[in-house]
Amino acid sequence: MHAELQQLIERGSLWKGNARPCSAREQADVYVSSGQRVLDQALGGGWLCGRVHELQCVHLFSGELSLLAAGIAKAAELARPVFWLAPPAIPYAPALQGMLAHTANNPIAKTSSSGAAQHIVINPANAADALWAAETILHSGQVAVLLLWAEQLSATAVRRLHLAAAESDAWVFVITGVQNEEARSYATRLRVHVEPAHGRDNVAQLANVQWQLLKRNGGWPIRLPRQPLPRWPSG
Amino acid sequence: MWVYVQLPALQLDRMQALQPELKGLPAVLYGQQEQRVVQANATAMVMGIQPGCSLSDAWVLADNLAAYPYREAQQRHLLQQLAADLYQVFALISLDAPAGFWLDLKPMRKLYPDIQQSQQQLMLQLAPWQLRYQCGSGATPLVAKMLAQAGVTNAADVPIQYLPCAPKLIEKLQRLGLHTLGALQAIPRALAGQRMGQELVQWLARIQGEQHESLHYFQPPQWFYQRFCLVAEARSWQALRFPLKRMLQELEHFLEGRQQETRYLQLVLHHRDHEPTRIEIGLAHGGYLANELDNFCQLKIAALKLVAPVLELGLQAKQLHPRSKQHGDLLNSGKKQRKPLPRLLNELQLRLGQARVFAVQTANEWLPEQAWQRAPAGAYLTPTQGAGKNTALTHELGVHPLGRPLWLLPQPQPVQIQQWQLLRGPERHCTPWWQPQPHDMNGIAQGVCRDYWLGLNSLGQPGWLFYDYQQQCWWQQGWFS
Repeated sequence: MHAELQQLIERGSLWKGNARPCSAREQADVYVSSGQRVLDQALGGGWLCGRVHELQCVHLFSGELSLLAAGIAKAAELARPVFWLAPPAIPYAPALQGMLAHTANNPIAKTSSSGAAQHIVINPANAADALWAAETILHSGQVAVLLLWAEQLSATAVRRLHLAAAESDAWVFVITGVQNEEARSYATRLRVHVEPAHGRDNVAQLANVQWQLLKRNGGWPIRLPRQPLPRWPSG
Repeated sequence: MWVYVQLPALQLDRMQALQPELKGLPAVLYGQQEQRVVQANATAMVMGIQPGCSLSDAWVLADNLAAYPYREAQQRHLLQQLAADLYQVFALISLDAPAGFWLDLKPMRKLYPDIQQSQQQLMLQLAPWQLRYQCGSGATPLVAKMLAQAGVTNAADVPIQYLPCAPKLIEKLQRLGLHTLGALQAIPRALAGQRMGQELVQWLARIQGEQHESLHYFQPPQWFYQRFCLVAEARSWQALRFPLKRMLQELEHFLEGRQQETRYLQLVLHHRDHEPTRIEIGLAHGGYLANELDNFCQLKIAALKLVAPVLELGLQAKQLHPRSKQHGDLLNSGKKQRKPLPRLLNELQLRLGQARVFAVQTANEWLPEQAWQRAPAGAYLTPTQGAGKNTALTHELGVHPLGRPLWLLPQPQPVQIQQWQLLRGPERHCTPWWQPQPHDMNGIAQGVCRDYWLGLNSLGQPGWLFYDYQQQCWWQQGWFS
């Protein structure tokens, strides 16, 4: 292959048409969109099923959950529960409900059984319990989306999560603070930067976020252009 | 038609079944007060030890005697268990504690038209218990019992000493030269009454079925309770696992027969000098499989330290409910569903604690912190109940025009409003005068009057703020992102 072409591919700035041999329908089952076009493109279609994805948030509540909203809606469609493991606050039921109604009203979204949403919140006493719960849940096969908030995970813990996730058909997300770039068995490592947006005349404006992919499937690390902070569908 | 089953050594036979090494030894159970042999096994019988002889005689006859105290309560309990097992085959069982029971075959005639068939059923049902027993069948309960005790087939041949009346009367009859029931029945009833008194006439009437017998019929127990004496003292949880597993299998059998599941197990570990340890296992979703329950027990007890060696183990199952139907998806379930969701949730709740695992649900309230509620884990997030009546309200609650944040802080946090820029609002929430006033932490009734705003902090993250008019300060209650 041409050296310059190779360079372009490595930089991730070239889209390969035949990279995904599977059909669109198959792709819909394996990938779930992040709701952001640029991010989806960089991820090669969205979040991959049966893998562990890491979201490093410099500040919590910086729109990371909005990237997973499609996955949560998909869980309701599959009639399998969403597990919230050690969340930093209470997932607010009216908003979750609002999102379902939102997607159900959306003519593009499939009008499926939006009533089958099961959200299970777990507040473990310590990190060891949280990991045990995550593994047990994944091994049971009864989960569509597993969200785990953790301060820090050891390489072994991630490896175990990876193995458990590989044999389940769930989307697994680990939401942490900024971690150093030691090798871990995550499929994706996304770092979310937030910075104030400077609007004209000091008018209040939503923050900008920048997604930095430290590791991704089928591409080199990449920093995506700044975007306005994504919001929860019903918010 | 009645059948009486006499169990001369129920307790000892069960001990032998559980501890086979006893079979080679002469083993007896003795009454602790009168120090007499109550039950003896076959080896002891061969050596000449009969039930009723004194314990010291037994020691003389066999120097390697294994003697255990006889426990009346346990004997009754065993009889209950036996009846519960037989209840699957026979409808009318009447217990004759401590060592026998009657079966009424009349209502079973449709199922077993021949008496042979019912006897075969009885044999089959009793076989796994490994008991010695004697059967007698007769037209009345008393005749059946006498036949079983005497071991003869014809009612007329029953020796007179098996008559259920007072020993004094029996002695009188024997002195008259009446040695069998047949001989007694041959005498005209009036004459016998004149000579021997009214008591004998009443007994004869009962034997011949002229007087109705009032028997208490066995009812299967409501709960499961079993107590098991360990062969050796258990010092660790590991040693208890096998007996426990056996008990759980019996529990499964019990629940299977009733098509029920249990939601509460209590394990009682009896120690020698300590108070018994009680371990309670509450399940949010019922279970009935022995393996599954064993798993739950292990989760609960794995970390437990025994305060003293365990002598006996008791298991009690309560809160029995009809089994909930689980409809699996035949086409879509696939091989990936390894563990049903209720079981998973049970495990999580047992290990982490009941209150730490829950589902969220909307509530029909305006006040933000009351607009959600905890629901039992596994519940579906459904539109608020009763909202269907008022579609306009549903619309406002479900897809609120102003939207609701994804995150609600467990407690509102005070904020410095200078660091925030208000973007959208206000949305006023006041407790209406006709509603009961919510109480604050000190129990003082407080109405709520708040203005809700969407605000941006210095970074530009959208938060959910409110101004409280009573406290005159700003609070943050949620995050929109």
